[in-house]
Amino acid sequence: MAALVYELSFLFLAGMLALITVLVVRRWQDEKNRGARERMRHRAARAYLARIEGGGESAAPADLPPAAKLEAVSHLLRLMRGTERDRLLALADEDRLFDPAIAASNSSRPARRSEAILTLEQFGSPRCVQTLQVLLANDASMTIKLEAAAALARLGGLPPLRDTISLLALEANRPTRLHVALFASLAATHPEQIRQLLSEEITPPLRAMLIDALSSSGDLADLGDFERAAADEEPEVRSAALRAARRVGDPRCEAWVLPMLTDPVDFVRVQAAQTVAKLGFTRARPKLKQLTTDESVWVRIRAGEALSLLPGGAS
Amino acid sequence: MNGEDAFYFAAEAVFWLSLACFVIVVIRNLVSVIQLAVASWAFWNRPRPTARLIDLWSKGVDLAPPISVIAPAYNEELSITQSVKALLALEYPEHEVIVVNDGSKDATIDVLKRDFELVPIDRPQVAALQVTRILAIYRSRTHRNLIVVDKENGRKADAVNAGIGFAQTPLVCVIDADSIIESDGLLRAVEPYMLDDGSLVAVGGAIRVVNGCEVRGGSLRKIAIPREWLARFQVVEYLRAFLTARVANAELDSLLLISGAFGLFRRSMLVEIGGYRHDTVGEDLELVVRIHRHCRENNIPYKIEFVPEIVCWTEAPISLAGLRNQRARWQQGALETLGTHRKMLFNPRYGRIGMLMMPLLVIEDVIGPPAELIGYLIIPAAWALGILSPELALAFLALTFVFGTALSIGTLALEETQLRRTPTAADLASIAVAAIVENFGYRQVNLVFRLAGIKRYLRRETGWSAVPRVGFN
Amino acid sequence: MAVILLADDDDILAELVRHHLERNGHQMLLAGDGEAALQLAQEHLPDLVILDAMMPIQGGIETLRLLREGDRTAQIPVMMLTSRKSEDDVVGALKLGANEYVTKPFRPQELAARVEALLRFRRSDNASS
Repeated sequence: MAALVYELSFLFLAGMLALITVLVVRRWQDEKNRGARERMRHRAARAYLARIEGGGESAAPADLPPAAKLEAVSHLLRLMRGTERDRLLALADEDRLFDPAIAASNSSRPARRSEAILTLEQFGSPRCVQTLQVLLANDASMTIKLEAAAALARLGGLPPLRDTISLLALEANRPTRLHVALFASLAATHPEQIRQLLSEEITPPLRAMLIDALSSSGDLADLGDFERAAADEEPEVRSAALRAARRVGDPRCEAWVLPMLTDPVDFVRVQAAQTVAKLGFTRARPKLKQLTTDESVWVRIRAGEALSLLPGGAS
Repeated sequence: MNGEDAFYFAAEAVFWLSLACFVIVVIRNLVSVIQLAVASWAFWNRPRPTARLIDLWSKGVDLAPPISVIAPAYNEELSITQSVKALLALEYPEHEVIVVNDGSKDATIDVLKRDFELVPIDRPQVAALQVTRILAIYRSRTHRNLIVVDKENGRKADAVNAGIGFAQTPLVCVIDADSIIESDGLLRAVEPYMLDDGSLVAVGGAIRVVNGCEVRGGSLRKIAIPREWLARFQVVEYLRAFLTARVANAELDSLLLISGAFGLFRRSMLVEIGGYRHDTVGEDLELVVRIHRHCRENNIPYKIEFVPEIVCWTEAPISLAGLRNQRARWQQGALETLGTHRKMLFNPRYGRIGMLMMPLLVIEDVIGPPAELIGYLIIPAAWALGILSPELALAFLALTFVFGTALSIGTLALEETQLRRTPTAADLASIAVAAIVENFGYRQVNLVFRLAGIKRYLRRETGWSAVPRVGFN
Repeated sequence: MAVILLADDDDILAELVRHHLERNGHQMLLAGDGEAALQLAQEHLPDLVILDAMMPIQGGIETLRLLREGDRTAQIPVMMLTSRKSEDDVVGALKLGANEYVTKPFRPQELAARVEALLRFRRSDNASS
C-alpha cells in the first residue's frame, strides 16, 4: 500500500517537473528568439511598404515566415487608410496571406473562429466577406454570429436587415450594446433599410435600438421618425426618441420634446430634462422648476442640472 | 476502564478521526482538481484577449457605459495626489473618479484641495447608504471628472457606500486605496457589459501581487516578481485563486467573491441592496453573497462574471504579523458571512449557491482548518499508537504535498499559455520553486493564522451575543 | 533635413512613419514611451515631435504638457498621432499646445505632407524672428 502511494506521488512529481521544464524552456527559447522575430516583422513591414510604391514589380520576400508577414501586414492595415491601404490590401490578396484565417473559421474552437473573424475583417477581400457571411448564417455560437455581423457591417457585406435581425435572433432577445454598435454602423451606410423596418411591426426593444442607431448618423431627414417614436406607447421607445433628438440637435423638435417633461414614466422625464438642457430650450424652465420636486430622485437631479445648464444660469 | 480498553478506545477514535480528516482533504483536493479542469475548459473556449473594445473606441463608437471609480482614502496625504492622477489617467472613454476622504487624521483633504483646486459643489446624493455624516462635496477645477467627498471616519465599507451614493453613472468600480489599476483595466472589466442583455450586475477581475514591481506615480512601470519568499508564496496563491478558482466558479455561474481591491458593479444593484455592510470584516464576500441572495429571493434574473485578465495590482503583506492580520481577517469575514446567510445553506431556493457553493464554503472555511490541524496532529498519534505504519503515514503526507503542488503548477501552466504576464523564464522558474517550497512551512503558518481568525470570530460572537443582531431580510 | 522624434510604443507604426519620413531626408529618433521621449527631446532638441496619446509609463498628453513646460522644449512643434478622436481629446491636446492632430488610421502620404508643412512653418518662423 505504502509503495503504491509512494509510486503515485513520484509519478505526480515527475509529471510536474516535466511540465515546469517544458514551460520554462519554451519561455527561454521564446526570449532568445524575440529579437529575431521582431527583426523579421520589421523586415516584412519594410518589404511591403516598399512594394506599395514599387507598383508590384517586386515579389513577396520568400524567406520570411507567413506568420511574420501576416502580422506585419495586418498591423499596417490597422494603421493606414486611403490609396496606400488599398494597394497593401491588393498585395495581401495576391500573396494569399489570409488563407490560414479562412481555414480557422472552420475550427471547432470558438476562440479560434473569433480570432479568424478579426483577421478576415481586416483584410475584407471578397473571399473574406464570403467566409464571414457563412459564419453569420451557420455558426452555432450567437457571440460568433454577432462578431461576424459586426465585421460584415463595417465591410458593407451584411445581408438585408430583416435577415440579419432574424439570424441574430433579435426578435426574441434583448439587444446588447454590441448590437447597438452594429446597427449604428449600418445606419451610417444604409439608413433607408432601417427607416423601412421602423414602419413595420417590430418589438419595442428593437424599435428603440433602431431609433438609437438611426440618430447616431445624425441625419435630419429622420426627424419625422423620431417624432412618431416620441408618441409610442412604450416608454423605452419614447426615451430613444429623446436621445435621438439630443444627438441630432435640431431645434424644430422643441414642440414634441417639451411636453415629454411631464411624461408619466420617470426615466422618460430624465431623458427629456437632459434633452432640453442640451438643446437649450429655455422655454422649458418653468416645467423644469416643477421637476426639481419630482418624486424620482433622478428626475430631480437631471432637472437641477438642466436648469444650471440652460442659458440664464441657475435661478 | 482498564489499560487495554483505553488503548482500543483511543485507537478507534484516532482511526475515525483520521478517516474523517482524510475525507475532508480528498474533498478539498477534488474540488480544486475540478476547478482547474473547468478553468482550463473556460480558457480553451475563450478568444485570446483582443483589443476589441479599444478598437471600437478608436472607431468612434460610443459604446462603453460611463463608470464612476470609487476610491476610499484614509490618511494617504503622501500618495493621494499620485494615486488620483493615475485614476484620472485610466484609459476609458468616460469615467468619473469619486475620492472619499474617510475622516483622515492627516492632511489628505488639504492636499487634494491644493493639488486639484477643489471647489465646494452642491451635489445631491442619490442614495444615502453611509451611516456617518458627510461634511462636504467638492469638484476639481483642473479635472472635470474628479469629485471628492469629505466625510467623518467610518470603515472602508462606509466610505465606499458614501461614494456609491454620489455616483450617477450606470456602473461603479469599487477599489482599495492602495489598488494600482492596470491602465486598460476598466476597458477589460467592462467587456462583459458589452454583451449584456440587462442582467449582468457585477464583474470581477484578476488581481496580482505588486511587490517587486516598479511603481511610480501611482501606476505600474515594470512587472517583476518579489524578492521576499513570503510575497512569492502569495504570488502562487493569487494565481491559484484568480486563474482557477474564480474562473471556474464564474464559468459555473457561482462566483461568490469579488475582491474589494477591484470590482465593477451595476450601481442600481448596489443601491437596491443597500451597499456594503459595515459590521463585518469580510464586506466584499458578504456583498456578493447578498447579491445572489437578493436576486434569487426576488426572482431577479442576474449574472456575475469574471475576466481573467489582470485588472489590478495590490500590495501583499511581507511581514508575518501583516499576513496574520490579513488571513485572520479573511477567515473571520468568511465565518461572519456564513453566519449571516446560514439560511441559504442547503436551501434549494438558492440554487447552486445554496446547494453547492455555500456548503463548499463551509468545508473550506469552517471544517477545513480544524481538520487540517487534526490531520497534522493525528498522523504522529496514529503512528505512536501503531495503527498506521510509519511508511504509509509518510507516503500519504507526500501524496498530499505533491498533489497540492501539482495544482499550483497546473495553474502556472494556464497563466503561461494564456496570459503570459510573468516577465522572464527565470521568474517563471522561481514561481515554480515557490509553489513547491510553499508546502513546507507557509501552508502550516497560514493554517495557524486561519485558526486565529476562527478564534477571533468566536470571541466576537460571544461579545455581541447580548446585542440582538439585525437580521437580513 | 530635419531631426524628428517619434514617440510610440507600436514598432510597426514606427516603421511606417520612418519609411515615409526618412525618404524625405529626415533623421528619425525613436522612443517607446513618453518618459524616454521627453529625455530624448531635451537632449537632442528635435525640429518636430510626433506623440502617441496612449503610451506606457507616461501618456502623450502628459508628455506634451511637460514639453511645453520645459524652457528649451516649449517651442518645438508637436504633432499628436493617436487613435483618440473625440472632440474633448482633440481640443484638449490643441489647448495644451499641440500644433497638429492626426488620428489613426491615417494616410501616410498626408502625414508626410503635414510634417513638411510644420517644418516649413517653423523654418520661416525662425528666419523672421
